Amino acid sequence: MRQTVLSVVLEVQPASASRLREIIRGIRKAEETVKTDADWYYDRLRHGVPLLQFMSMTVCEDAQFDPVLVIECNFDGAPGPFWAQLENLYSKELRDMLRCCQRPRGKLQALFDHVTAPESRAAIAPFLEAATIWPAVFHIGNRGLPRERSERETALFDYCQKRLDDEPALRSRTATEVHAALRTGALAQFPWLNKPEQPQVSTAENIADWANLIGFLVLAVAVLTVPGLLLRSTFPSWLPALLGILGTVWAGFHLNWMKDPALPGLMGLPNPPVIIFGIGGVALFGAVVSVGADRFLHWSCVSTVGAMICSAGALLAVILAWIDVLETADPSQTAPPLNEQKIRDQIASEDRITQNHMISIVHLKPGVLRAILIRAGLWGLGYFLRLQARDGYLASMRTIHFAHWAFVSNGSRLMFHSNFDGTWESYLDDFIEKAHAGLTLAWSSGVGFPPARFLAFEGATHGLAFKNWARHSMTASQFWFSAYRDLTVNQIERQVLVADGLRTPTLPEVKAADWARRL
Amino acid sequence: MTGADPLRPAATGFGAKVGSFLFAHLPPVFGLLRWIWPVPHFGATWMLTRYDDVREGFLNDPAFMVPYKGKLDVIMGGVPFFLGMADTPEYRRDVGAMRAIVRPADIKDRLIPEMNKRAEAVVAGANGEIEVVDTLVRQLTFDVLNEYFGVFAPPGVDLRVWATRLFEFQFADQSNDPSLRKEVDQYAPGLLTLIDNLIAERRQSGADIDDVLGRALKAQAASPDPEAAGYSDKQIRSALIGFVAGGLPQPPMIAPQAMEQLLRRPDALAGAQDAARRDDDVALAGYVFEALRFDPLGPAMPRVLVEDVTVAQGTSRAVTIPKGATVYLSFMSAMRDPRRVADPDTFNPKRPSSDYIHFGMGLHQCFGIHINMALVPLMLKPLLRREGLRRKPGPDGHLAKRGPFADRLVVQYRP
Repeated sequence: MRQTVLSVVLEVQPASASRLREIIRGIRKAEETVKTDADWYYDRLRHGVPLLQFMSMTVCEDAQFDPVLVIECNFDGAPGPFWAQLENLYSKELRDMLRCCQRPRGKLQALFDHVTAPESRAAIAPFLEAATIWPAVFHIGNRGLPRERSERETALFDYCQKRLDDEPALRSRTATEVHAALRTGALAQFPWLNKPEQPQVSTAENIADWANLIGFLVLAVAVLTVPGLLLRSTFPSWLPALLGILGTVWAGFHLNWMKDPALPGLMGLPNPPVIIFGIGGVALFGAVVSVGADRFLHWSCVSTVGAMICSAGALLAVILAWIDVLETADPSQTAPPLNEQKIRDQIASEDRITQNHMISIVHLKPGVLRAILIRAGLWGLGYFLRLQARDGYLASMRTIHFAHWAFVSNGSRLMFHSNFDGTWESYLDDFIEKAHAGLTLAWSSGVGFPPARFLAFEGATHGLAFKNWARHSMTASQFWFSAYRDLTVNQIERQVLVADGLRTPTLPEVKAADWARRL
Repeated sequence: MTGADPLRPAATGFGAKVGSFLFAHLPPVFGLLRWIWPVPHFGATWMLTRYDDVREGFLNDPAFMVPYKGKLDVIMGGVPFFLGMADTPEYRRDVGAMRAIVRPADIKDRLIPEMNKRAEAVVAGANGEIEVVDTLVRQLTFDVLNEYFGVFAPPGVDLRVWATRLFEFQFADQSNDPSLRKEVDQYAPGLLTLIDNLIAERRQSGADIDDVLGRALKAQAASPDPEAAGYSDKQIRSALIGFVAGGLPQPPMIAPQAMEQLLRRPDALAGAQDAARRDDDVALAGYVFEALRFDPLGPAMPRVLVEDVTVAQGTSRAVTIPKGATVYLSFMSAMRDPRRVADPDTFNPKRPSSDYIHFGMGLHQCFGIHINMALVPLMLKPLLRREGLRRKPGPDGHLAKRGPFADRLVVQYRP
């Protein structure tokens, strides 16, 4: 089952920012007032847009830019039906919101004019679709689990819990017997248990995930080796070898050999000498192979391969040294000014339900190399996560429902969204402790980010500085919706296992015991 | 009522057969059009096939004018009826006047219990086999709703025939068939006179009957200027004719079509039967209207442009349609457009309301939408509750149509 993560980011007319906030708060108020269920808000949105899992609407201010309206959406299926459902519910509000935004230039202009003209009744969905910004990298905690399935499995799980509570005798029986007893009752009440579920990751998706990652790696290798190939095919073998060695030597001279961390209190994580000698060794090996195979063995193909290896090693060394030079000279903002009112607003909007939401927009550091590397890094990270994080776990964290990074403002700013379980503090602590490398890779090009080394090291490990920086870059959303406010990522996966177990007619005791532990 | 056939004899000949075949295979044709030619046109006749464009056509009523006024004048004797009006103060007055007396609470308090009771009686009395179109749905529709409206036919008059002919003339007579017009010229004045007589009799009798006619006359009596309030005799008459001729022929079209679609899908039929047996009317409605998405009331509704309109402006398929063109808004196609409807070929009884355009949208959305949504599933409910529900063996067990009208569908069940 496809799930989509996207956002729409539109520049707001500064004079209309307050009005826009009011419209968004109006939607929230209406949703929270129309309480048709004893214990549930947002019924209209929940029923009107059954594809939706999480959504936020935020007006983000920035000293250097006009405010932007950010609509972040995480939903099941393709975007078209989702936008149609949302428009059906909030047609007037969405049109009024767009009227607070600046008229975009380029291809979007005609659509925007059509949608926002006085008395316009044109469909808004096509504009929102066209204005969509796709994530540079995203993570889905419960991949392949549509909301409809999670809701069904929640009802099943609750049924099992109730049976166990109402029939204490069940707890004294063997796991196989408990399974049989619960299955008998559940089948009558949940006939869908008789039908197989779609796999969370289909064969086609699996093939696509592998193909994407392999394609990315092949492209990366090609980019690094093509200079060697071109040089070797045009010049004698000694020239690419010499250039490779010179490049590596240049890198060695410019690399910061110090192992000390940029900020006190933390051991330097990467070892520059090891890095430079390791990569330099690869370049040298390639150079030797290229020249040796050409001069002494007259193996042209091997010589070309050697030149390509030399090229890859040397380019990598130069890139790392260049990055190191930039990072060493980077100014940082270890104590960004924190607006007390803004932080109070953020804290007030947190911890209302099981999950929380975070939106952050940061400026990106200048420079061509960084612009290329952050895009390539996020691109590769995205493909890696599609393969690595399929069971809810990101590294060893299982708390993120949906998260994504996207470039906004013509690529000059990086936006981050996350919908996660637990508190903001514990979420960031988890990241700092368990996934700091990925976090640093994604964010180290942000202005003011704690000093990083080689894009992925240090950075987020400077916990306090990172948290201050993250808080500073955040905005409290005027509207945030979670389709299942009581469910954690872990619980959703747990329910999948319980339902899978009940689909099976009989379970041997060992498997049944493992299954029963989920209850 | 007489036993006359409410439908005109089926057209015969090669052309009719080709037309009938095409009509039955419209979904793939629309699928192709949405993809390669989303705004097809032949001369001054255009069609919108994509969801966004159809929606825009319905909602942009100032430019996409309903073309009904000419034929409505024939039916209503020249008295304006809101179905043929633009968004004018008169339109708002007349619609507001009727909304004040066709009250939402009536559905729950009166129409639903009545429909449940009568539908159960009809099915219980059918002894294990029933014809769905006429014996069940048309009979229930005309009995329950005419009683609610306060419209009763004198002996010798079959309102089912009159209303169905007038409906066909108004909505399904694109070729202006002279033989149909001949019948309309007889039935339309007949219905005008019938309603005029009912109004006069009710006023004369002084009976205090709480139906739509009774409420309208009360509102008329309470108003210093009945015409300004929308309750003059002619306005009341036009509204009642509109309800009878425009509304009542619809359930006998859509309810059997929904049943046919359910019968084609054993899982969906089982789900609908389960919902009916659990008295879960919301779930049952989900099944019925989802079934209807696969064979809705018709393929499209016409509009006439009163100004040049650029459809899908800002997109690559933008096209300007000239003033005066007739534009067909294909809600059948829109409800199967995968660009806006998730998995449109999958039967999903839990779809959101945005996936459905059964009753149009905007200014001229069906006045009786809420009544239809509540009552149509209930007409089928007693049948769905029965064990062993199945088609009658043979051709009678499959829905036959005459033109756009459902004609005959016989089902069997354990008595």
